[in-house]
Amino acid sequence: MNQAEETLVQIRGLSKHYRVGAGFLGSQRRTLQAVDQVDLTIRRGEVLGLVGESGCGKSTLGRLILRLTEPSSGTVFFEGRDVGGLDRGQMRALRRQMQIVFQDPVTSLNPRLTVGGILGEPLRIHGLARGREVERRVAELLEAVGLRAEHAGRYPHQFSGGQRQRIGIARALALNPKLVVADEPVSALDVSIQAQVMNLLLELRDKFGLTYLLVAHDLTVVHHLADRIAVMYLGRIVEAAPAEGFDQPPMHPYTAALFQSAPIADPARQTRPPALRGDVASPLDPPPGCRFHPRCPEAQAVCRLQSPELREIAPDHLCACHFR
Amino acid sequence: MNQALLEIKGLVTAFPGRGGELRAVDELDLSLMPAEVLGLVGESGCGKSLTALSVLGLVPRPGRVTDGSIFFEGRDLLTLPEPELRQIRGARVSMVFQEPMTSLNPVFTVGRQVAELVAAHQEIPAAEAWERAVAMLGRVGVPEPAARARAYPHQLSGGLRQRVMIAMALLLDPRLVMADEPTTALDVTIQAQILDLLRRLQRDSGVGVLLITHNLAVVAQMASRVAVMYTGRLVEEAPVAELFAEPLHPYADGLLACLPARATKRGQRLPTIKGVVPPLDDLPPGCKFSDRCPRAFAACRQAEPALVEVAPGRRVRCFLHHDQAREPRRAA
Repeated sequence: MNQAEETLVQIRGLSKHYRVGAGFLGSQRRTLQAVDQVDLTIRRGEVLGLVGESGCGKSTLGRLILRLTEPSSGTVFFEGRDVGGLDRGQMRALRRQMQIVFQDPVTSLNPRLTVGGILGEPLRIHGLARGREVERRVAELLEAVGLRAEHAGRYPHQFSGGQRQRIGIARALALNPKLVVADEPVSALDVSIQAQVMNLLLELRDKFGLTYLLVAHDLTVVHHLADRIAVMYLGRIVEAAPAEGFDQPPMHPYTAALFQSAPIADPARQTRPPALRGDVASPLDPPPGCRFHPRCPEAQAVCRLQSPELREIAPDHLCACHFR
Repeated sequence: MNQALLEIKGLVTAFPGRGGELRAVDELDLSLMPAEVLGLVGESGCGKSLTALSVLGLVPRPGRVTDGSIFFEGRDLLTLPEPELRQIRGARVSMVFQEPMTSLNPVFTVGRQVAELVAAHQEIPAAEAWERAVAMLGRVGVPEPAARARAYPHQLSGGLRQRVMIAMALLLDPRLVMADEPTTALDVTIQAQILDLLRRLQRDSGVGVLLITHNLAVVAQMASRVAVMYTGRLVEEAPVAELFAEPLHPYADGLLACLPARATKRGQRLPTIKGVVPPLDDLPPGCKFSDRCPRAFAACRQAEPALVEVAPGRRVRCFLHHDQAREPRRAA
């Protein structure tokens, strides 16, 4: 996979902070650090899995990369160009290259448009096809995602959840993007449909040479699909490593806790005690030092004082922990 | 064996449809022994949640139970008058739902809601009900229970809210708890805590648990026996280790095979079940899984197989495992 070494997206010091009021009068303003000082690379042709629990900033990071949300600071380079510095016209042209698939296939499709309308709209807006050509392209897209050309005349509600997610994927592919951010693409689906959609994502990657940023909370899904996995905790990347061997030590204590927490579909395996005590921490006023230290079983004095740097602890293996 | 705690026989729960009644639960036979944890699994719309609601007499209108019996501790809940049912519901049989935010009343403190449940079933002074509520919140691992009892639901995290729901479910020392996707809305590290809590409380109190979930891994770690539902029917029932080692029904086999964690290799195609679950008003004739089944043969499309005991504690609804069906197939 030498071509995978080529960088498609380079993220440097990316942050998104929100000012939120506390109480009715908003007298005490606090800062919610959704994403904080993230450095990350997405390589051309890879599936980069991004995992973490709710509120860790993984979806916000996906939106920042696509510039659907403006960052507070930091830079996103797409094929070497600073995305933040583009004007509206340039940004519109770039949008063709980067698309998103949302979690909920019900709310992310316009219920008043036919599937043909949903898929044809981006083609017309970007001037990529007209008249008959749109129809032909819509039929192609539907077939690529395992639906049929005659489905173009139907409305979203006439499809099952899995089929709607296929439509969402077809829409993301309509403009021949290079990067697809898939935000929890299978978590709303039933088990048997999850497998179908996971297979489809891999198939399309091979067929169209796509690069995915796969945002998900389910480590087993990410571990199956991704080439490389990044773990987020309270707005920061704490680990990034190849998926092969990702479940083997050494790993960040939080990653280890995620693995230990996921129930295993094998009754012969002993149930393990919960890896972590306490609640998922709040990104409002995160703790000083290592953000994971209040829940970390290995925390020492240094963890409360000093934030660990994300550094290479083995070839291609980044980890932010004082003890790795 | 002693008497079953819950015994469901021939349960039919139906909704009116255009072409007649639509059976969302169809001829369901299921029993649960005292102190047993039974996993009820299946995909959305298979009737697993409706089964629990039928037990509680809470089937949403216009649906209703049209046939069968539900024996709980020897009494048929379907023939009990509402006042007696109310005494059982919440006290002897309780339920934990998936989303605690919608099950808790947002305008009352959680302590008050727990205390009211005590007061509704037992005549005790308000102060004592409050004390019992606080004690129960402590037992389910709510930190600083006396202070947290004064919090409103929105002031608690999802994990804590689910602990409050579990406190309410176990408060009156029930014999049966039905937990419907109790950890599905939670983060994975919190899910592990809640499952651990449920496991410990179940062991300590000897309560029977009907664990309804789509998550086979959760079932593997929690249940001793599993029942698999498809289109309102029970298609397989087995001790948990046997089901995971050798699922007999092709649907159960397909569900297990498509779990990424059980897949042979990362990044490879996962085995899938073709097609989608058919809508209730468009079920195939014969076996309801026959249109998706990789092993279906002619007989499967003609008649629906019965649920047959193939080994002690093991029942399956599939002609592949019926002796009477195997013979003509060999001949053919």
